[in-house]
Amino acid sequence: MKTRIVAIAISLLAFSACDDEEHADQLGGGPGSSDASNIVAEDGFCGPQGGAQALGTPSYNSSSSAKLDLDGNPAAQGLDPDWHAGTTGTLNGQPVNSAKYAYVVMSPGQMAANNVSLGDWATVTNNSTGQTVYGRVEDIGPEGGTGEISQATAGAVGIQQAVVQTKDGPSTVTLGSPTVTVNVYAGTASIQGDCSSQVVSSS
Amino acid sequence: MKIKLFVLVTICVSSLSQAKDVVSPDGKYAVRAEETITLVDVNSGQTLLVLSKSTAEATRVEVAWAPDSRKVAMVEGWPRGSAVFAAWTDTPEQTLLDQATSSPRPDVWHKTLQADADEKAIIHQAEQEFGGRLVSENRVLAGWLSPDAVRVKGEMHFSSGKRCAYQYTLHFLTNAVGHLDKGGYEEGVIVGRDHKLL
Repeated sequence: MKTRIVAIAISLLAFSACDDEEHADQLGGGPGSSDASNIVAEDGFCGPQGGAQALGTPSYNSSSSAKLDLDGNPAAQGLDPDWHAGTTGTLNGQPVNSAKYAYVVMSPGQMAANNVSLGDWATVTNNSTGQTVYGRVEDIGPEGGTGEISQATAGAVGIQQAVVQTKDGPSTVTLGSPTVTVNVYAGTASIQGDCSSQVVSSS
Repeated sequence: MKIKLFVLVTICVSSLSQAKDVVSPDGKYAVRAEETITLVDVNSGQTLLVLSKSTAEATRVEVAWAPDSRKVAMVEGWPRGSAVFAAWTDTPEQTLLDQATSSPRPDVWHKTLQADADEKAIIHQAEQEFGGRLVSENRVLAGWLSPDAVRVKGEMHFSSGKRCAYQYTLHFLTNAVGHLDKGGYEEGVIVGRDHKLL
């Protein structure tokens, strides 16, 4: 299948500042972005109160190629053949916007086997650059899936995204062949966000 | 072999306002779907196992008891994925002599799940054939083939936009030594075999 790149864009944007008060009542919706060059992780999920020490030892770990999940981003409709308006996890009853929030996707089997719940904290590391960001488990994907992350997660760790044209229509993909390491911390969903620790490391 | 489906019940989780029990053929046990999915003793009401700790976001729960009431398979579905769980008892069945000469022994139940790795080869094969990566799948229980095997059918959807149906047989290897995972499931006791794209 011949793929023609019709738009290439880079998003290397780290999370912008936010505070705990905003995190406490954050909404999962928001405008999102249909422009792959303009994926801004706004409020994000920041980082966990207490930082990495509060999370303990990861209960799940995988390293694989990075794949994008655009679900929850209302502006991404039509930019992914398998786009869903909703995510399995919600924030205040609304889908978790892929363009705004750093989240990771796990399969039901992975979650059950590792005692992981929606909302549990995760870290995602770009294996090439070492950039790492905090996120949460907010979507459930197919069995065997690994490395599926939100647009905001990808942008925060320097993974470039592009909209490509396929015979089935536009599709948003990562550029190059980035790989990520995902660590998930079971039983941490109740830990509130602390935006002073939003990025684990930037290099 | 004639396929005989004794109990196959699909529960739409979204319509659950009260507990839904799927009772075993012998009437002694039930799988109860509410906020969690549990295995309960019908007579005492005691919860024996928590098979799935949350149904909050699930769209579908399907339960199929084996004809001998000693195994139960379950599929829980979400919009983009599914998981196959099961429970079994390995307590020897009591004879009439046992019952006459000793007090009843409680059955000991175990829980297990089908590991994702089980499906790796068929997913890879299908991705090669249909293009793109797997973006969603769902499975249903399609009937017991024997007291130790149940048919599973599913559909996979790929990023290429294509879909395909597939099936396999889920075998219960209850004599196998399972690996206890972090969720408390004894992995390796149910294994998918004879995968086939349809």
